[in-house]
Amino acid sequence: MRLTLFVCLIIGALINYAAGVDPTNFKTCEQSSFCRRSRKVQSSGSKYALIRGTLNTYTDSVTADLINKENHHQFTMKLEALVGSTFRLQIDEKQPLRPRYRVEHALKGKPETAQIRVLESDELTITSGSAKAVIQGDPFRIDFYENDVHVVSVNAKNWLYFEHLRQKAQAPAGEAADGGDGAQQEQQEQNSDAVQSPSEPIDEPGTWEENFKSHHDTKPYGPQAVALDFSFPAAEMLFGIPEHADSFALKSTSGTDPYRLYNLDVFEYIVDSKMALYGSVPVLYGHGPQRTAGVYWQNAAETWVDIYTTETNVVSSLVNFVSGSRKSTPPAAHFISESGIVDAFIMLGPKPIDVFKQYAALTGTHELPQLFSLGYHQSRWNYNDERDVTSVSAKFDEYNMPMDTMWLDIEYTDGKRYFTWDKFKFPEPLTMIKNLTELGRHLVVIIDPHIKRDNAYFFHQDCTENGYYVKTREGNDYEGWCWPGSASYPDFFNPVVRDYYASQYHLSKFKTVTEDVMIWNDMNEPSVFNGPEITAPKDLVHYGNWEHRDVHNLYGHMHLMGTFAGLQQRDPNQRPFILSRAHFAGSQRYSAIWTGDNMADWTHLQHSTKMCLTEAVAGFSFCGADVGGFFGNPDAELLERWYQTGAFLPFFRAHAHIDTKRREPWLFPERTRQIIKSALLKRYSYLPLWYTSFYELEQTGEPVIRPLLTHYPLDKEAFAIDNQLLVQQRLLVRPVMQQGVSKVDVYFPAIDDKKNGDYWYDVDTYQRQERAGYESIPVDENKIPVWQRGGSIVPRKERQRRSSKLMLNDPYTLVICLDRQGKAAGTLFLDDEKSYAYRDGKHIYVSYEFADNQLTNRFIGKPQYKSEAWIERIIIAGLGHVPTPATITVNGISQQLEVEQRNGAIVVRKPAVKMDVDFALKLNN
Amino acid sequence: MRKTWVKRENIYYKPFYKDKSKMFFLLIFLVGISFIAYQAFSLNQLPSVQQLRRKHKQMMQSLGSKQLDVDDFDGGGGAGWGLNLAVPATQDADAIKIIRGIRLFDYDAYKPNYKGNFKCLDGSKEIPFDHLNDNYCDCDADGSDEPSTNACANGRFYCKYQKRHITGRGLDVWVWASRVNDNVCDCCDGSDEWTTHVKCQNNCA
Repeated sequence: MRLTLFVCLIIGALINYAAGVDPTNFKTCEQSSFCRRSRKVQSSGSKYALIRGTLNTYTDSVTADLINKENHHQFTMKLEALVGSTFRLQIDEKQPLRPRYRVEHALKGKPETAQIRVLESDELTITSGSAKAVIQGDPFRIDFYENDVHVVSVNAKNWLYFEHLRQKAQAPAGEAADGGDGAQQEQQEQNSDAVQSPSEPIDEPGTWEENFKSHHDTKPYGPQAVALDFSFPAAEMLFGIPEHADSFALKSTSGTDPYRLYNLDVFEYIVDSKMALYGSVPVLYGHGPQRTAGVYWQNAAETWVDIYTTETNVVSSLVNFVSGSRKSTPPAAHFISESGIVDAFIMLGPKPIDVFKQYAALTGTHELPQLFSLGYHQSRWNYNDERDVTSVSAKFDEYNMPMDTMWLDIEYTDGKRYFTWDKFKFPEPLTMIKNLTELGRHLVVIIDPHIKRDNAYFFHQDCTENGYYVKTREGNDYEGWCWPGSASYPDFFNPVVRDYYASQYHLSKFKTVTEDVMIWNDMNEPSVFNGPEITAPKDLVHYGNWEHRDVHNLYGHMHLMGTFAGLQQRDPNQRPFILSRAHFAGSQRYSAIWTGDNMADWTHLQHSTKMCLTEAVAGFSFCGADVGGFFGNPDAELLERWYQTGAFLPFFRAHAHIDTKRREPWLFPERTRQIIKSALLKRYSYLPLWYTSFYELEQTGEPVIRPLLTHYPLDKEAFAIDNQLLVQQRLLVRPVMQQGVSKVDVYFPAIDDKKNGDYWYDVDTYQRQERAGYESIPVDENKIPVWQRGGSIVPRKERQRRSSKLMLNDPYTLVICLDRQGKAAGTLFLDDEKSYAYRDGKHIYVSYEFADNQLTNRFIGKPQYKSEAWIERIIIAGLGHVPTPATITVNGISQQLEVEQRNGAIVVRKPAVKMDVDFALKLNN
Repeated sequence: MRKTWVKRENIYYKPFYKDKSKMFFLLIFLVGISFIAYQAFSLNQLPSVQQLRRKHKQMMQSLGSKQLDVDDFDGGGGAGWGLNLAVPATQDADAIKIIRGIRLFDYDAYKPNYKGNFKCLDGSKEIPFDHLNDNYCDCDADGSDEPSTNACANGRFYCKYQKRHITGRGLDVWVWASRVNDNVCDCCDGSDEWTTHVKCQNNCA
């Protein structure tokens, strides 16, 4: 979140301050010895083969032994079939010196396995439904087929690389490798009885210990990297593996560093970069017109991903020319992890939405959020005191702008001791919270994982006494430097620590908040200002005696588990809302995320949609970027456009650095204020759609925001488009993200390869786009280019309130946009917007269908929620004529309704039916 | 010639009743007196000051009171069609009805025009009079057809409590229509919450 002058002071001497991040603070592949070693295999290849006669077949899986033919080390391989065209491949050492780490808690549960049929011939064919895996013994390779189309290959390039655990060889006398410091001496003594196998090659420097800048990594267990390649023969492009500030389509890494997955707190990150950021989700998809498939590489250690695509930019075409590779080579990815085992889930599709659902079936989805969290969030580092908070909230009322949540950053605490309040700035937090909640608003406060080392601080006392902190190799509590100064980090991998942490959220402990106050977990990569790469050293020791190296990318995830449990225990009737910066696969079950500490410039605005699209397909639909940019001061135009963009990303929060100028909307001229206000109102009018989308995300795993290829998989032009996004299959959003433009080019995707597209209706004017392809759309400063797909029905709430909670009983507007056949359909979900009662069926889930000039509704499940809401108007676009009038029939009683024309649509006035009532609305010619 | 003493007064004296005009005035005076006397008999049939005050109070209270069940329009929205609209059960048949949330300045504008319609205050549109205050926004531009409800985004709700100088000067006290019946008391007298169950305190000075 916030690394500023403070950090510059701490590590400032090392930083050559420039605009943005200093890349030398972070490792390149070349500086990371396991990446260097594993990448070498790309030129030499490796030789792994199945050992004949070791095959075991079970009802849902096969196992076999694998041998490295160079050093004759043996491994076990297990291939398991899961329901939903998914396979799980696990490779571990047969007899490791010590157990290797297997990721826990990332999956939402034990995956359900599927029956297999095995056919043994030259190759081993395993069939499960329409999915098929063909294993070749020597060289080891697995090909995966979906309905007999070859979609994924494992180890097709023979880049499997598995460093087995071994004792350190004694340094030959006379050779003082790397200077031989104390740690190494000790290591040598420990391993004095180890025998070096003659086949072991001489270890290169960095294998048994590693230095980066002033930091030393002792590597007590030596080299233990795993790497494997995946090819996608049916794909033309690859996407996924967030979080990177880069395009949606992954770029080839030949000639550059691989994409890196290592949760890091990057100060002023730069865009168009493959550098690691705050989160790591190792899921990657290959997409082609016919088939889409995915691979989830379940490994929590530092991971690098090399990408090979046939994209034709200057560099890669030059490389292709030099290396002589042909265009027909399928795109491939090479996953390289520092430790752990090979644990890969191969998801076979066939369509993009199927793969996303298969991934959601493994790692879960965000549960239905409380409605308020989909509203607008107002944040800043920091709102200084109680008066500041109250007056900002009052100003939103004064200017009649809706706002749902106020946020407090670290300065509210008593000296960065979390779970406490600064008694001078916030003497009466409960009164302040009450003033907010009375207006239907919420408060979110920050709780970070670093704990101030202060003997008078109860949390530190408890953690010290009970040994709850992450330990150093020597067994002492690890001490790092973060916001509070000297700090330690609770070991959330320990269930006892998580329970303790969760209990701290209970209102009997954290007395100065109410159950309506939600939580923001920041700095949980973890961020350590004086650590290597601003995070924790890899040789720290966690619960279960695992090294930090093994579990690094999971630290934030475990932190979230503790917080989530805490909030659920605090108030079992309220759905928790948590925002996190660090995340791993599966963290979406607990929290929303945002793209971290971005900057107030146009390129970061453009990357907000790119990054959130990638996050959305990796499970994190609840994604957003700091509106206005965290660092720096946006000018009026940038801020306007950012609000307009943010209004159509799921998480909508304005946030700013402590050193920036205040930028609440009323501090700008009237023009800007009006534009921001109309963007906010537009967001609030679409809340029923966002809410329904999140319910359907939880039910089906279909992302809320989607790249165009999700629903237009045949349109090659649309594959790489990442400045446009779909909200479900209903809206097409193309925010204006360039400075000073009067028109934008919008791509309307084709449903087939003959350039036939859907109808798209401008949501402001109901003007219809009938053609697929690029269209130049004029925009003024107020325009957010958004279209509704012909064939969809979108629920809206057009009444304006000061916060979403107060909209509970407000009437709905249905917007029906007709397709070429004059039909449309859409769903709406409503409940109490707060509690878990919807899981007991206390909700209304209704599907509206329009056909033959008639609108009908059909309830999915019984409508058991009593709602005061009703339908206030129905807008129909794309009708050839103006009907006079409309007839609505409820329970056999009919009534005439007035119809008026507005823009290019007709408006049926006041049907006034309650949401849980069956009705039929007929348009008369 | 015999000298006649004539009393001067007698010569010029003329009894007042012999003067016609005076007689006329007297007559009027007497008739006036008798009229007033007659009126005095029915004096006890006139309302007392207290009664007048009470009546005025009732009228003003009807503006601010909760009307959850009985109302002269379909304020609840959904319950609306198919049901008979409740007839206003006003205690005083001759009480002046002021539409909730308008300012008295606009009192005459909220009467049907010669066509029986309502014309939006900005003149942009003319709508049937029964669309006035029916919880559906017809005057989109100024929201003037929904003074009592929250249907219009641009509408204003004038609170019952209006602080005025004795000369009638003073600023209108109003809240955005979006604040009407949103479970938050916005008017100092709470008059904006008239279908919700929230209990507002009267904070008007």
